[in-house]
Amino acid sequence: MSDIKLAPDNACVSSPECPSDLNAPSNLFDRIVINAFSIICFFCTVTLTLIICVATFFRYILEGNLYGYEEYVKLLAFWLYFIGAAIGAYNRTHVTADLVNAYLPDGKVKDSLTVVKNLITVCVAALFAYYGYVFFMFGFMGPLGTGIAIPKTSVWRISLWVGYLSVFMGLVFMVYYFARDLVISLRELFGRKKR
Amino acid sequence: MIFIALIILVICLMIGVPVPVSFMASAGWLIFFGGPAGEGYQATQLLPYGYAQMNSVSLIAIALFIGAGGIMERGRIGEKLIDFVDVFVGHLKGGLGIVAVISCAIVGSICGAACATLSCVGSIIFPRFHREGYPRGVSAALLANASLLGLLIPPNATLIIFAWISGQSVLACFLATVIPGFITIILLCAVNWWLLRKNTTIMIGEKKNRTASDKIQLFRSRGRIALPALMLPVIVLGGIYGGIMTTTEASAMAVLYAIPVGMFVYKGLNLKKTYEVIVETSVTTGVIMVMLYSVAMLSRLYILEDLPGVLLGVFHAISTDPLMIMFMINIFLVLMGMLMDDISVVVLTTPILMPIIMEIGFSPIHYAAIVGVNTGLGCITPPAAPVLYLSGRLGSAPIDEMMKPCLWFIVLCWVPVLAVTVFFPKLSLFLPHYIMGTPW
Repeated sequence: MSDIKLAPDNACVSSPECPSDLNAPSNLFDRIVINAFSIICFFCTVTLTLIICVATFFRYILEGNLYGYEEYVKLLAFWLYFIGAAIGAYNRTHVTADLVNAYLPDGKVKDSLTVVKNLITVCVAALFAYYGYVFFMFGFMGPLGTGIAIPKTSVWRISLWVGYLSVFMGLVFMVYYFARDLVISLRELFGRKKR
Repeated sequence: MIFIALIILVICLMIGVPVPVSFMASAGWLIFFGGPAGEGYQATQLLPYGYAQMNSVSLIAIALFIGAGGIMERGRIGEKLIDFVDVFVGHLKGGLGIVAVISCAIVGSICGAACATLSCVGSIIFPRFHREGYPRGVSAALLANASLLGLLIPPNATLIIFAWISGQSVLACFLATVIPGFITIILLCAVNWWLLRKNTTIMIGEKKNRTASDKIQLFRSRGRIALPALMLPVIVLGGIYGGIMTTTEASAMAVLYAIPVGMFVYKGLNLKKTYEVIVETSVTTGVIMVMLYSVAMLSRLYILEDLPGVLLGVFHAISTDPLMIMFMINIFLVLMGMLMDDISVVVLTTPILMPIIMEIGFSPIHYAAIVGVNTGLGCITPPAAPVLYLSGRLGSAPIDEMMKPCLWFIVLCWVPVLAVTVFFPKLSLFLPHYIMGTPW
């Protein structure tokens, strides 16, 4: 289970179930990425909330129908999920059941295990990021790979690759931030950076 | 190959690989070495399968309920609800404990997640516990247990996920946990009174001298202040159970209503804080959803490898009695709950255990109630008891002081509720049957 940390005002900040405090990005690249991702998440949440509320209003008050609104809502939801997960990788708030580490004393064994854990994480996430790329290209280039017969939604004819791109991007940035953790753990293991 | 995939999953989880990546690692093994002859599976079909599974409007409710919970906490909406509940039972000995339990049930019914409920109610009520001289261990253990009521008093994220994975009606799953939830509320209040019955340190202060007219006066004044906050559960629960809105629509309405109430009525939010809380809850959502995406892919491979059939074979080797198998499943769920959080347990076990539940003749809706109670029990049972540790830290209570009262809550509250939920199916099936016509 991930460690649960408390903010100064005693708010729960590091559990999958409670709001997590965003660590301020230290370098320019992270600052740009995390701020851009935060704006995307905010936009997606607010927009899909408004669309669903308007659709509810239309259905129950005006007895009308916002035809095919689900297509936009689902698209926004996928961007929210995967961009949120990428920020989660940056914040290290992904759920873990870290039993061995919790009972190991600090030292070389624990540091080595952290490196192994991070290495497995990076390799597996990279494999699935590659599958994410194949998935995205399937939507972008079509099933024949020629840009013909690109899959689209049934009502508004939105190209499905718009949603697939969120999966690919989310996985790529997760790999990037998992790799950052791997580098940090390697430095700690080989003593270049003290705890 | 399936056994190696399971071993990879267990090892990855134990060494601390993030849960979604652990699922992917297990799936990765099966992609390369799974199948009847070890020829592997088509990896390119897995991500589209997960995407198709996740492409569901009902899952968006999870994101929006988490958002509503965050807004409630920062917008001081929870604080006004607690003040209002205090009018009714605050003057009794141990009354603040009852206030905490009922407040957790109300807040949990909106934000639907234990840690969010705990941090929302705990940050307000722990200072009051200390002021009134409550023993630290008892108060922290009580709040840890009460915060799990969000798993039983719907709507909640765990049951939405359960319904999504098992293909059951979300509303039926919600209704199944209502009666066990109310029994849990009553038992928590009773155990709280029993633990504090001989305590001499509790000071109720001026609350003890409240006359009937004082109470009416307080009811009016606090009720007026709390009215906008009280409308939130009315919108969510009334909307869903009144058949006016779907769960997703109710969750969107909750967010849309909570933001102006938090900003303009209780003044706990401004534009910056609203932006922050929405981004923070988006991250929480993303973390949960990637886990769901990875488990959607993994469960497909496990089904192809017939893991439920293998597990059923193991259960049948021990006993063929359905009740005995259900007992073993319960032990398995409690053990899983001791190692993981509630959502991880549900996403991992539901696709594997659901075919077994159907095979031995139990209702999936009944099983939803069993899962709700079981995951609640697991969340407060060490070694991995996130809610217990968080409550200890919020209430400044050492874990050893919390363990004894917590054990009493487990033995006198959770275990009896689990037993009646398992052995009296009509208790959970009563509401789904009468409201939705679900078969017994």
